Amino acid sequence: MLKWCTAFLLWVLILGVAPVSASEVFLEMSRFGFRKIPIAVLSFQDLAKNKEAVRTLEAVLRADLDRSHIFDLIETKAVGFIPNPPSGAPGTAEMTKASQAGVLALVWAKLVANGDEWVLESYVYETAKKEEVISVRIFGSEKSLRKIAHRFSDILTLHFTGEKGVAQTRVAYVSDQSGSKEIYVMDYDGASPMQVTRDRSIVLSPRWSSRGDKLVYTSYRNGNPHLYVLDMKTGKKKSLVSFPGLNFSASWSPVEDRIAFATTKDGNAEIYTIKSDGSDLKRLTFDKSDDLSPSWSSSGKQIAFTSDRGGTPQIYIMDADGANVHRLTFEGNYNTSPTWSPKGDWIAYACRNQDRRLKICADRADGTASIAMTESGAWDDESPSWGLNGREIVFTSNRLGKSQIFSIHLDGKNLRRLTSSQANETSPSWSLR
Amino acid sequence: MNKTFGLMAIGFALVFGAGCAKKVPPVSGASGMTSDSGDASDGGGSSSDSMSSDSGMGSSDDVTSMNQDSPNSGMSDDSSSGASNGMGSAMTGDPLDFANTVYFDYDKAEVRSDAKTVLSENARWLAINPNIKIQIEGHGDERGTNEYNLALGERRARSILRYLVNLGINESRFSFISYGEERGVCMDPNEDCYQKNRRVHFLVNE
Repeated sequence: MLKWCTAFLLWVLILGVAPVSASEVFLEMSRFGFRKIPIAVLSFQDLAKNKEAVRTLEAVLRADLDRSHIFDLIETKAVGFIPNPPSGAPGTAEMTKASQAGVLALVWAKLVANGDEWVLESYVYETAKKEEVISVRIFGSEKSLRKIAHRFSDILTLHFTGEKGVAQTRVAYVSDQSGSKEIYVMDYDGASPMQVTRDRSIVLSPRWSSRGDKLVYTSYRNGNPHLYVLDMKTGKKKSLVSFPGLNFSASWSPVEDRIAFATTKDGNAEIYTIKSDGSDLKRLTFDKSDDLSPSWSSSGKQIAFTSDRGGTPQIYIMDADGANVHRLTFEGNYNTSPTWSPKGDWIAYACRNQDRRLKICADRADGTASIAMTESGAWDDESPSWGLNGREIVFTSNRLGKSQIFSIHLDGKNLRRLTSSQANETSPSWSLR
Repeated sequence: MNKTFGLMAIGFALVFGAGCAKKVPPVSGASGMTSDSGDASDGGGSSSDSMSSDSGMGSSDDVTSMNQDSPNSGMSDDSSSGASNGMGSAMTGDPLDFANTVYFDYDKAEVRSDAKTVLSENARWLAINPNIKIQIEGHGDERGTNEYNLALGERRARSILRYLVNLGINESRFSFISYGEERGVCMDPNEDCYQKNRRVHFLVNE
């Protein structure tokens, strides 16, 4: 089996010139138990004379690869040869031994400092080919070491899967650590959290724009819950929607500058869309029950949403103009907060079990499959948000006490905790770039 | 805004004082609802929170200290009667009394029979005090998702508003807002606590 898999993988790698079909096949396989790519990170060469920096780079890269669910991170002592720093670059003999030990790829780099500018000269070797397949210089500074490592990780992901990696993305979320709920932004791995609102009120449901440069969210800063847009580059915020009643659960179209949201101005929650400059308001739902929590499909042509028009809250799908409404979920009596995968194939949502506990479920958007992504327990999992690879989500869980943010893969594996504060960290939104 | 809240704070303080002075013993049999402190935060906590969001820290501190001075017992009548016994609290029609909190079943916005008793009393009080305006606040417990609970909280607020209007109170005296699960008065993960949070709370605006 192993040999077959290896042969298959090589075939995929060799056909890397036609990455679309190859990577699709590969990813389908990886979803259903395909062996991860055995990879080893050799000790980096330290030409910057900064051991701490090199350790950070190696550690962040290793954590990225381990977290990815694509790579099987092999310990250096198991690569089949004794790495020989400081020159460190593996030669033909080393690659042969690594290949025999089952390691498909070796990663190595040199850190060079040119004044304030730091360069990570990064190399990747495929042991079966006995070739250097990537040679790239990543620029940064002493302050951007984590970013340099994340960049290297994404280069590896792109090379081996044909898909963009998630290592340079960010997660916006709500935390009450300041005493009131405010929005924070952190790296995808939970590092470098930063507070971005100071409304001293209640701030809810941040959602990234598709470009990752703006956030739309609900705030009670003026008493009533209104929608605001925060420009992350300028730090400026502006009011977007301020109807009487609730203005909430906004979601940015992935293909145009348009935001879907719910408002109760008509007497119950209805879904509207509006351009981010506040113009061109369009009403999509006309139903006496509540329609809320819209989430766009990757094409921007459809919207999934929560509605209790059938008596209990369930997930529905409609066209982006409100036509062709149909129900997606039928299992259970409480399914809310849909979020459409950026790949278009799955819709994740919070589903409630008989003990009135929430977990994360996902249905194929065409309704042909339904799975539980998180296990049931005496806790609540909610607020799923997809990573750009469409294979993993971030979500909120209070399984360890206070609400914290976790990530998990579509197959229910690789559960990771991203936040570990004493506060409640909720409502994550994962940026798509 | 500041002025309104200031008046409101004074109103609360007076109300608590009055509630203490002509205090009716807490309803026995309200087992499990221990919680003087939890009930106190029902009135005090949520009002001071909303002030801190709108009028800055200074006035919020003032209000908090006023509430801390006021006795808890006035509130414990309110909550235990509404939540578990379906009995009205001491209702005298005194202008210094205030509209009592009403409670809801899980996932429901329908007015419960115990709430109807309380709402009749609230309506009587509102009829006697025609100049008072009320903000109706809808709340939910922590279970369920935040966004759905916002919608549920608003359904609760609207259903209470409709009920009071049907009892003859002019609709123009009411405003409403939903806080969903964002302003719980009780944080423990048990049914007693969930019940305390599934409520509509009345805020006197002037």
